[in-house]
Amino acid sequence: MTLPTFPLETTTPAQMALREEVRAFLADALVDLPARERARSWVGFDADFSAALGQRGWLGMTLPTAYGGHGRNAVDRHIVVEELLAAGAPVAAHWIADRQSAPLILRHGTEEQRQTILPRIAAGTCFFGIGMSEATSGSDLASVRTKAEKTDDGYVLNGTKLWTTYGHKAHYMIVFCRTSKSDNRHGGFSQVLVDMSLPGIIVSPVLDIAGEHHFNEVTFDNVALPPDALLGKEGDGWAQVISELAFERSGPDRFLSSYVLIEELLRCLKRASAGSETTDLGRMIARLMVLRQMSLSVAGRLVRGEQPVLAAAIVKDLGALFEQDVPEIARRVLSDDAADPEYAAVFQRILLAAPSYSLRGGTREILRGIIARGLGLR
Amino acid sequence: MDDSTYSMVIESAEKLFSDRSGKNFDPALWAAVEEAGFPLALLSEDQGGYGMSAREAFAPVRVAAAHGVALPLGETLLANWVLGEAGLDPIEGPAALVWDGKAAVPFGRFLKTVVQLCETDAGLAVSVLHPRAEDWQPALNYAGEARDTLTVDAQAKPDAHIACAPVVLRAAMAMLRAVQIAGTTDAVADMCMSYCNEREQFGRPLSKHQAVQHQLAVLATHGCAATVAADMAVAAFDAALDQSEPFVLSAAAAKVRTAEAATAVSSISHQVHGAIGFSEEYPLHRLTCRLWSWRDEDGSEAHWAKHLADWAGSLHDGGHLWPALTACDLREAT
Repeated sequence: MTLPTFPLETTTPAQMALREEVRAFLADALVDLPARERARSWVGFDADFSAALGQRGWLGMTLPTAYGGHGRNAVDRHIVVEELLAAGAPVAAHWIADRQSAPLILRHGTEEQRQTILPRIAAGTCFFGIGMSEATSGSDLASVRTKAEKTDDGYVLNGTKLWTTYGHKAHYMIVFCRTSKSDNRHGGFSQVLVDMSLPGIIVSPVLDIAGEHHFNEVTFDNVALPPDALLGKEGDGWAQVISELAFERSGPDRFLSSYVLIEELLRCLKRASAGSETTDLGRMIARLMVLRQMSLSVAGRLVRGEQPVLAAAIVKDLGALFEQDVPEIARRVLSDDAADPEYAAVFQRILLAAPSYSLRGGTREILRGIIARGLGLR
Repeated sequence: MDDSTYSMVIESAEKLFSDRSGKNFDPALWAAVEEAGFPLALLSEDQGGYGMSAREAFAPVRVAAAHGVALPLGETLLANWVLGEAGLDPIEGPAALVWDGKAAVPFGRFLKTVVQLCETDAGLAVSVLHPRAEDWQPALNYAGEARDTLTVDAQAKPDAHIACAPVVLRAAMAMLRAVQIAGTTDAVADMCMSYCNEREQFGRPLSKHQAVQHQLAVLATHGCAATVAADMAVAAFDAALDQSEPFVLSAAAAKVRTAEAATAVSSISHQVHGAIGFSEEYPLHRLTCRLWSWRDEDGSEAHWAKHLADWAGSLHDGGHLWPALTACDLREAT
């Protein structure tokens, strides 16, 4: 059999209770947040909200309790994240830290790094930026030029990272950089844990097509890093960054980015006739129902200690297509006179965010290459 | 989940159905299928069956579809299930559910029994009929499988009634097509991968051309979605009578999603095969013609999408779809 398997997950009573608990909390916490703000999805930033989630035990869920985590599994986390995204909660502050930095530090960090940082991530008070892309290194990550040179006191970091979401609010960045020359294209890289309060770091805003500021350019100008800034093993950076990307690709954020528009569409449809476009609407719901089960299945495989790289790439590719189709379907389904100003604001926000869905976390082309490799074609 | 029964069923179905592709009903193969007990799998032991879960019971249907086998196996499974729910004895020989009215029945002319369903004020009436060959008006689907229309009227006095909304049985029949589509997309994927690994153009296998790799990647995403869609509906079938809404919604979504997958998979598979895949001698069309038939049979995407859209439009829980979606999640048996 060529295709990967997606065993179905069944929900336990405890998981159903967890979902209800999160939902009740959000109904209360977000009561005053208008739909146009919820439509920011995981780009909405609210440090107080993140801290409140941390207090509830809904961050760092899969981390061991010894590091301030909650010893829950990937399916439990999937449930919480689904509820957060479906409600349009402002999760950006803790997002990167909870999704990928914490599991990366748990896997590769020193005991001291774990003790210092993980409890703060679980508390929702320590935020991270991703240090991968550069101006001349997008999909071709192995071409990065940022360099950490070894000195007697640690490392000196030089280079410029780009598209760093909330780099201007981050306490740390995990920077993928060159630490030595290598004949192997994927050799000589390392990841360093950079404290953003160090001297020599310049964070400049980069606005997106809607004129909003979440991206940044982060320049490291002779930043002196202590020796314990190294994350994992020197020279193992490539393997580590690939495993970091696997965390980045496996969650419900890969199909729920435009979910708030679906709810808004249904709200407005209640006051208007669905007309002849019900097929579009029904097909959209069918796709969503299947994507949810596919994504849950990937979480289930993570729980069993598997590394479902191929399955995750498949969900992300289908998920991004779905998220991008939602505004197009909404255009066909809702008549012009049924839209109110709140709907229009949500629609615009999602329309303008949609191009990023198939770029961030690996472009569609990169994902299809990963799928082809998983199928044994490369 | 205990997978031992499931694996055993898959293994014996693989043995039975390998290299038995065809478009005509095969009586000898049917006898072997009955010998294996597949048509009674959903019935409890008290009812003369094997008390299997829907996942186990429909596994052979999937395997049969993957091998391009022409048999009313899933139809007979469902007919026996309805008879069991109606308190009637299971039947021998190939059978199918038939709605009162003019609907195309899979392999009609080859059936020994049809279980006719009729909506009445007293509930869903069930009648066991044994039509003669001349009672059928013959027709074929795109794959050349018999799809005949029964020309006899509903029985005046039904044999029994069952307490079940008609949409549940219509959804069950749609689920059956979804299972068949999922099995077939898997087989098409296999065929495409081997062909593209072997066939060389421009001095290298087709599978080494990036444009082809990306087409195959897209095919794989649809194949996986079809499998999950069908699995989701089948898993919900176990509680189809007690929790009929999640089942009907899952089956509706499964039919819509597998039909979409059927469209994409058949299109890409023919594209990457080139002219040979368009020939009578090459086996691809046995699979793709079935995909084109099944995506329309027992309700097209438009039919089941309307069901989902109407349901979403009818939700009044503050207009929120989300809680209604998560309410369809499979629950651990208690």
